This record gives sequence, structure tokens and C-alpha cells, in this order.
Amino acid sequence: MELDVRGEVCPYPMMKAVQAMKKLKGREEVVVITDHAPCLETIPPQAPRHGYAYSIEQTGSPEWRITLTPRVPAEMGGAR
Amino acid sequence: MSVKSRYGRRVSRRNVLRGMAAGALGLAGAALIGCGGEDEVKATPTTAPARSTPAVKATAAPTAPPTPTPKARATRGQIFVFSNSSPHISVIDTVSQKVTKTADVPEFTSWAWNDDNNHAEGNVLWLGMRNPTTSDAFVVTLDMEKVEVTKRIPIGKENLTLYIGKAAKDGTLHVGKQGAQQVAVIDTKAGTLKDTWSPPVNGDVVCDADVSTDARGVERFVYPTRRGDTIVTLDPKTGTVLKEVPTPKGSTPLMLSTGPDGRIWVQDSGSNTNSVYDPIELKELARFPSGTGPVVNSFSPDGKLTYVGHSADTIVQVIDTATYREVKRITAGTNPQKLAVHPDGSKIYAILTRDGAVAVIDTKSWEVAERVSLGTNPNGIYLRGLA
Repeated sequence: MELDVRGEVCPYPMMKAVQAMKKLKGREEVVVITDHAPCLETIPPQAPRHGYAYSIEQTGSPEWRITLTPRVPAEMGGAR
Repeated sequence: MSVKSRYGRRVSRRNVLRGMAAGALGLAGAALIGCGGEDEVKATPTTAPARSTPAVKATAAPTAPPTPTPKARATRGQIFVFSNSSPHISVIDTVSQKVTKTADVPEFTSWAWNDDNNHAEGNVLWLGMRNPTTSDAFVVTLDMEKVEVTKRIPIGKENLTLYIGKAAKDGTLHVGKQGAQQVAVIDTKAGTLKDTWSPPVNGDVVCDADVSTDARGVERFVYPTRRGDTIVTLDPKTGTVLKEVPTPKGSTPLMLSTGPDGRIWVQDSGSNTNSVYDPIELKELARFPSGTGPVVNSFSPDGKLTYVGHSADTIVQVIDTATYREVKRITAGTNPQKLAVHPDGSKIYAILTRDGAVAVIDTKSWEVAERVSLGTNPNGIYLRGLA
């Protein structure tokens, strides 16, 4: 699932990312595209709480892609 | 000559507050709307009837609707729009509705939170800036004539953002440091950081910052604590806690602005509501729905209306400040987060953070009359009133 939250400010991108992780329950990765630097501080701490790992890639100036990857692969039942 | 932007703060307070009497609202039987946790984005309608009347829980306000302010004396203005990509500053003339000047800031890092409630004195606007890599935070002064940053005041580390509101009468400016859970206290006359406070945040953050002036002229620094679910007032001189009140669990009070009569208008991100507090006891006067993702409100020059911007929504909400009734929801564009109001009240300017533009809303028709393209996505706005 891709969440393009460019133009949105905290806490809304984080809230949407958490909502997506809860909905997907580790069955699918969540990609968050943001241009709001504070998201780099607020979204990553939410990942392990919902069974996800994260990586951050800077894709523009200012723009980032935060990839939230299920820790337990979907074929094994997703996040627990 | 600069008159003042934003309902003439500082200059106008005494006039505004004079003679205000209690307004009986008689809004009984209205319900509180539900509150969600931080993990939820509640869906609320993005469109509404032309004159919708959402549920309002309200008690009598301690003051009557405010009187017109010197802001109304300004006949035109310049809108300063900020962006994290070039151009960092765009200036729009309110007469031609065109961008008349742009500028990049040397050694630019990233704007912090800046909106039309930021402190300005004469030609100088006070803004927050932050380095996302090092977390070094600065308060900077912008010469609005030259469109140049003239001073940078380091205020320590901050990993999220900064909030600047109105200054106290003695020139003290309180800057909320969200992630650091601190308030930086700036002497605007000397241009120096004179103190840093660590006030109560109930486990979360200092989110937004403003000074309220009550009917007796008493000032209080006020901030919401977001997931802390509290609103706090401090003595603006000493930092001593004056009041700390809980908000409904999960309401997550995010941003606020103080009105010309001192009332505190809060946007609640967890419950998608607006809430209003009296500045003395922090008694909740009203709570009513906003759109999805309320961000921050601005006032009409006469103080009779307030306008609420949103993230994750397309609307600007118009509220009657005397009755707390919703007057209108205006579909403005993508994420009309931060707003400014023309000195004569005829137009509202909303940054559209995904559309690279500012929407110009006519307050007679409540429709978007024009869009001013910027060539970059905006994240802050300030209107400077001109005679």
C-alpha cells in the first residue's frame, strides 16, 4: 500500500501510517511518501509496535520514502 | 507602512477587550462527539450543507463578540508564503493577487511551523527554522521590506518542530519546542535567548504556543500537549504553571490560537474537533466538529468569525465566534492548512500544500475566487497589513 501524504503535517501522516499497518496486519508493506521532515521522527517508532521494520530513503529535497516492511512474511501469517 | 496583521495583536488588545460583556448562548442539549486515539483518522464529511449546524456543546462565553480592531485600518497587504523548496519565500500582493517577489534564504535548512499567528513588529517577522539533519533549531527574523533573513538566534536542539505565537507586551516571545518538550524564551528587543523552560506536557509535547490576554489585560502563555490531552497556561514572565486541565481522552489537542477577547481556540487532532476555553480557568466553553485533520485557525479582522484550516481534507471551516455555530465549509483545495485573512476581511488566503498554490476565498460568496500559483508547495503563510 502506498500512502502519499505529501503536504500533510504531523500528526496526520503518522496516524495514517499506523492505521494502514493495523489494517494490513503484516500482509503487505506500507510505503509512506512525505515531504514533512518530522515524519522521519514520528513514523519509524510506530513500525515495531505494529510488527513492521522500516527504512528511509531521501527521494527529493525535501521528500522521503519511508518503507514499512512486515517483520514476519505474509506467507508465514504476517505480523504477530 | 506596516499597520499590523492578524486582528491587530498587541496594539489592539485594550480596545478589543474594552466593554465586553457576557453573551448568553443558550446552546443546550448538544452532544460531545466521540474521541479517537492517535492511531485513528476519523472520517468526517468533507462537504456540508451551505449552512450546516453540527452538534455544539457550549457554555456561556466570558466575553461578548469582539469589536473591530486596528487591523481593519489596513487597506491592503502582502502575503508571505514559505516553502522548503525554492523559492523559500514568495510575496503576493493582495491587490494584484500576483507574486511580486520571491527569495531564497542563504544557508537554508527547513522551515519549522510558521503561520499567520507568528509575532511581527514593524517590518520584522519572527520565524522558526530547523536543520532536519542536525536538529539545530533557530528563531530567525525576516525583514519583510527586503525579504531577507537578518538574524538567527540559536535555541538548541529540536527534532520535530517549533511553534511561534504572539509575543507578550514586554516583547518576550515564547517558542514551543515540540520534541524537546521545552519553551524557549526570547527577548525580542535584545534578539537573544534568555531562558528555556521545561513545562509539564503530561508525557507528550509542547504543541503550538500563544499568549492570551484576558479582559483585564492579564497575559498567559498557553499551549496544548497533543497526546498528553491537556491544555496548560504559564505565567509568561516566570514560566510558573497557572492552570493545567485535561481534555477528553484521545482528543489530542494539537494547535491553538487566542482570539481578540482572550478565548483559546484549539484544534483537536484525535477527535476532529474544535474546542474553546476561557483563558482564566481554562474552562471548556464549547466543543464541536471540525473537518478531518483540523490544523489551525485564524480570525476575521472584527473577530466575529474564525476560520479553521485542515490537513488531510479540502475544506476551510467558518465558525461564528459568538455562538460557536458553523457558518460554512468551503472546499478550497488540497490541504488548506494555514490561513491568513485580508485586513478588510473580504478574503481568506489558504495555502494548498499539494497544489503549489494559495487559494483566495471570497468571504461574500464563500467560494474560491482565484488561485495564485507559486511553483512550489507552500508550508507557511503570514499576512502583513499595509496602510
